[in-house]
Amino acid sequence: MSYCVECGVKLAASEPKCPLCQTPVNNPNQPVCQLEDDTHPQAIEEVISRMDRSYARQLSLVFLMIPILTVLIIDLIDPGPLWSPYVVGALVMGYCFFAVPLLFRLKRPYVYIVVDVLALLGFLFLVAWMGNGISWYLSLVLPLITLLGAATLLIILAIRRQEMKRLYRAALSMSLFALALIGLEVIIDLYAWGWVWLGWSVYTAIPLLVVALMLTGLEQNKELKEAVRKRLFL
Amino acid sequence: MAARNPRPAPGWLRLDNAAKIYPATRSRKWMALFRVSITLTETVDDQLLGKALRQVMKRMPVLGYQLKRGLFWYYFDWQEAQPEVQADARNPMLPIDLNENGGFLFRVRSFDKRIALEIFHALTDGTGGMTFLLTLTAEYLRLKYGQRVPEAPLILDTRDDPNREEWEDAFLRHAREETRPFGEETAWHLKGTRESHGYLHLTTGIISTQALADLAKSRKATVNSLLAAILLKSLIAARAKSRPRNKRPVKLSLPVNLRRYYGSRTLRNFSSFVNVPVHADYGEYSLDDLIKLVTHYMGLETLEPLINARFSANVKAEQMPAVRVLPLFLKSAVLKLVYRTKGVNYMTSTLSNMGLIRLPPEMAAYTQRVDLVLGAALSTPINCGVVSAVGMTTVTFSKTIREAEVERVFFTTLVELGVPVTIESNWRE
Repeated sequence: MSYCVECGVKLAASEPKCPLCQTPVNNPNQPVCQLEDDTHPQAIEEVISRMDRSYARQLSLVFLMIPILTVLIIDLIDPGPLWSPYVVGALVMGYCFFAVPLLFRLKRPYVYIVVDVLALLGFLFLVAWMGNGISWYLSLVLPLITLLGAATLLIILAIRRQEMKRLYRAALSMSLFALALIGLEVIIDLYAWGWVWLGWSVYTAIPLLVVALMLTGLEQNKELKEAVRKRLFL
Repeated sequence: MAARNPRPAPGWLRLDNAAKIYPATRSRKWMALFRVSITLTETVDDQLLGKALRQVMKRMPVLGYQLKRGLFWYYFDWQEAQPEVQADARNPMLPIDLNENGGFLFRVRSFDKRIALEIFHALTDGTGGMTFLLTLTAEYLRLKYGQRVPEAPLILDTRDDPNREEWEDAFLRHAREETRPFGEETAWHLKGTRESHGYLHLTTGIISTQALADLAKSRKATVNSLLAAILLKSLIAARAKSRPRNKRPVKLSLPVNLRRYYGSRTLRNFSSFVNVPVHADYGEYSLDDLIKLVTHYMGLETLEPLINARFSANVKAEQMPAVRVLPLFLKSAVLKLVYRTKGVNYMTSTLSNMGLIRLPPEMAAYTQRVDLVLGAALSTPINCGVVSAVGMTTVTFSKTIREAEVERVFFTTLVELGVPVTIESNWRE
């Protein structure tokens, strides 16, 4: 056993330095490499990082049911026009948007996007159905939101493909975005005029596709890539 | 897990008056735990310890409950599972996940020669925890060496049946009509570099009980007053070093075991506390001044009528109809606020001294030492647990900050006063 030269306390044989003042033990008869077994285990436990999600889910559903039941009851009592489905639909959609990602911890984000797209489609269908606008819903809303949802899914899929080189991923994402813009204009044109005349989407898509091509070329040309990196590093 | 039958205790229990605050303050990151441990002379056999644990659970069923939420209050619900012995860790006293650990509110852990009990304060206090640990150790020694350790203070006979007094809410039984107001002066709080989350630093000083008693005698003080005075001196030094902007006093919280007033046999919470204030800005206090201050302040504040009026106020608050009908989630928010503004806000640190434990010779022969570790929180980042047994007094500082100023001044003061101290810690780089 050694004494701390600063504090004067005797140190347990397992201490390589004084825990009070951090002065190292310098005992020629007992070098640090020959210290006795520690009086404390080596294993360090992890802090619980899990929140009680099942309880939180139940609680959030209870909180969701309170306004839903309130508006349903008011609507039943009130002789005026039916309005509660709009509120209920909006609440359910909001729950899907905000509560689902918080309360259902999933490894991949695709399910959240599918849930959000379905929630949005469901809510807009409700609005269309109650306002006698099913044709508007089928010809514009359904293809438009499906296209945007699918494009988002594909772009996220491209970004998350770790085995693909970074510039290829960026090029693929830009190309998908350009295609989504063209698809968007096609849907809008068909709904508005019944025929397709591509305009604004092409002006946006062409630069995007050019940049994508440049990125692909840059990834293939290692010397050029290195030269760019050398000049632009942060 | 084997079933425990027949049930030796009620199917469910209300939380006692002191326990009610702890579930409300619990979070994923923090839980009001404390730890008692005993170091034997030989390596612990986990299998035998598990067997002893199952036996002791029959004698002390009060620990076999899990925490459940009611509409208005938390309650303890009986469970049929059996606890298991766990391996000890370098960073003890992480919060207990109520959905794991078999639903138990305590852990029995072993490492080398040590048996440790980490327990949620809602279940019991230091006396209850130490009784469980020592009874468990006695049973373990009986299984290992075939010799029964006789019944003694803090050691129960496992052949006896549990007594219903052991799970009574003694606060409720002994509270009276007259109460004292809660208000106190806000304390100065120690700040420092926070240790990574989940790592509680332990620094233990091992001191000869006789040397400490002799020193206390020479200063005309009790060991408790002496240690409290030295800790106050250390906290004042740390305060001076931090250059505080306010004139708040350093306040040391000293728990008081209420069983000695009322002779209660309860194994649940039955303790109160006194916060001893020192206004460091008034001038320099010598150690003798601080001993005098602690002795007289405690002498006054621990008079039975005063201490009774103090806990009676808590009981009265709990029984107010407006409080009782409040739904649990609102009540928990209120209790959390009360804990912050009226509880930890009034204390800089806690010194809990379990005193001298006289172990029967059959047990003392196999015992090296006994330790008490308190939890540490954000506003009280350093606390101190003291216990004396088999001629050794262990003083354990538990803290959530990296700076070691308080314990350095504490232990070097003891060395300067002629008491040799051996230091060990769970520090890591």
